[in-house]
Amino acid sequence: MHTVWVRLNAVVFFGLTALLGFSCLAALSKLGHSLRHKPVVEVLKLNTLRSLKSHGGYDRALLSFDLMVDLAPAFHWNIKQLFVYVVAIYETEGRNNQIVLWDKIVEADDEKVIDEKNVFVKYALSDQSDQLRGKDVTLQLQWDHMPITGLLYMDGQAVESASKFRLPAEYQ
Amino acid sequence: MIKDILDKQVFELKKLWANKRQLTFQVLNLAMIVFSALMIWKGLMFVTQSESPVVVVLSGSMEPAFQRGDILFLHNAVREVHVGDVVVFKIKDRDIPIVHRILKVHLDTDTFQVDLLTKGDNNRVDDRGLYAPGQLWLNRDDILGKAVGTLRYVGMVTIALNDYPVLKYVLVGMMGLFVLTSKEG
Amino acid sequence: MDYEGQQLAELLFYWIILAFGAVGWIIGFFQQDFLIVFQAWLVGVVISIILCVPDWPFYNRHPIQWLESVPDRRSKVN
Repeated sequence: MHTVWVRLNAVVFFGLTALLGFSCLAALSKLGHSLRHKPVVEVLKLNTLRSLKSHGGYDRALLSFDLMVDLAPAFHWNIKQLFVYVVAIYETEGRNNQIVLWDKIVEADDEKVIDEKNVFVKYALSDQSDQLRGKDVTLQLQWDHMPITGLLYMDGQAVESASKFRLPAEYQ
Repeated sequence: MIKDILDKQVFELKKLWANKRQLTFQVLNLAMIVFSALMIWKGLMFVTQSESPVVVVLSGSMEPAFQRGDILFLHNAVREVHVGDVVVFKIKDRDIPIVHRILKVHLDTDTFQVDLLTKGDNNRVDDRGLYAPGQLWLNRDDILGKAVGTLRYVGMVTIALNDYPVLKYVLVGMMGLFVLTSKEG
Repeated sequence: MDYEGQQLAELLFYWIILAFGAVGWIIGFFQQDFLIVFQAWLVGVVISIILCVPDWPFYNRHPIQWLESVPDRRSKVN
């Protein structure tokens, strides 16, 4: 320990190790939090189907939805933010499709209740071919937890309780 | 004061050069450290089945979730990917890994092949413009791994080294000096 | 720095960083705010660097007692 560099090295690396320890402790202190606190999706349903058209052989639907959810139970001191998104799930011939229609970043300092009606989609519900007509679509809310330290984990609305709607059989 | 420190370092180095045995010892010491680090890295690569198990976030396209300087831990051993997963992928023939989120998943239920579309949280549009010309979708093989954990700020050093290359020489020089002149054992 | 001083310096920075960090962690836990932990930690590290890295006089209170120098035998060769 008899040169300045050695001492500086010792202090800095001990400090960093201690910070790592505190961060891990913080993450561990909230283990099992999501089992006991789960956000409840009050409402997620189709509001209006604006259009269902074919663009050069690829089907595309534009719509708006209602969403009401309180995300506060998902937050704790090790969560930086939630990435919340609405997924449209539907099946076509030989394919299972999951498409994000809308997303939002909810940070720890933001308003944690989302209560909006007639929200227009950010990303069109577009198919890889032309098979959207007459299909059943499930709308599900999912959210990804971004911790300050530790493992990322996703959670979501139970698919069984998610709302469904059917696309019309003809283009409109 | 700085001159004293510099003189002392030069003195230590001269002493080291005069004593070849000590020099060999210190060089071997340095080599041990380098090879241990390499072993740990290769070990991690094997466990996570990913060619880059740890990456530093280089751009701001995933802010505020991941910022420049954050470290991401990747895991590639799981075959399935889901909508919303944060993944790291490389476009064919390009070196830079990109960290973005999966926006669309089209799964073929017979072959279990997937077509994927990604997008950075902080970007206005999806990544199709980044893909190779004519490429509309990513496949599972393009994905290097899924982000499973994060450490803030620890990768700042990499960013600084990237932005100011001269720092690389300064850092390696200082580390070399430190290991060669420290007296252990 | 003499040996007593080195030991003192090491003990000091261990305790300072751990104490500041622990207090910060407890307060942060009840406030559910990790920034508090980070700030407390930073203060602890800065204080440690100022107090434990430079060669302050109070680290040199037990100077090493070197033995008397032996007269150089080579100079007495006939």
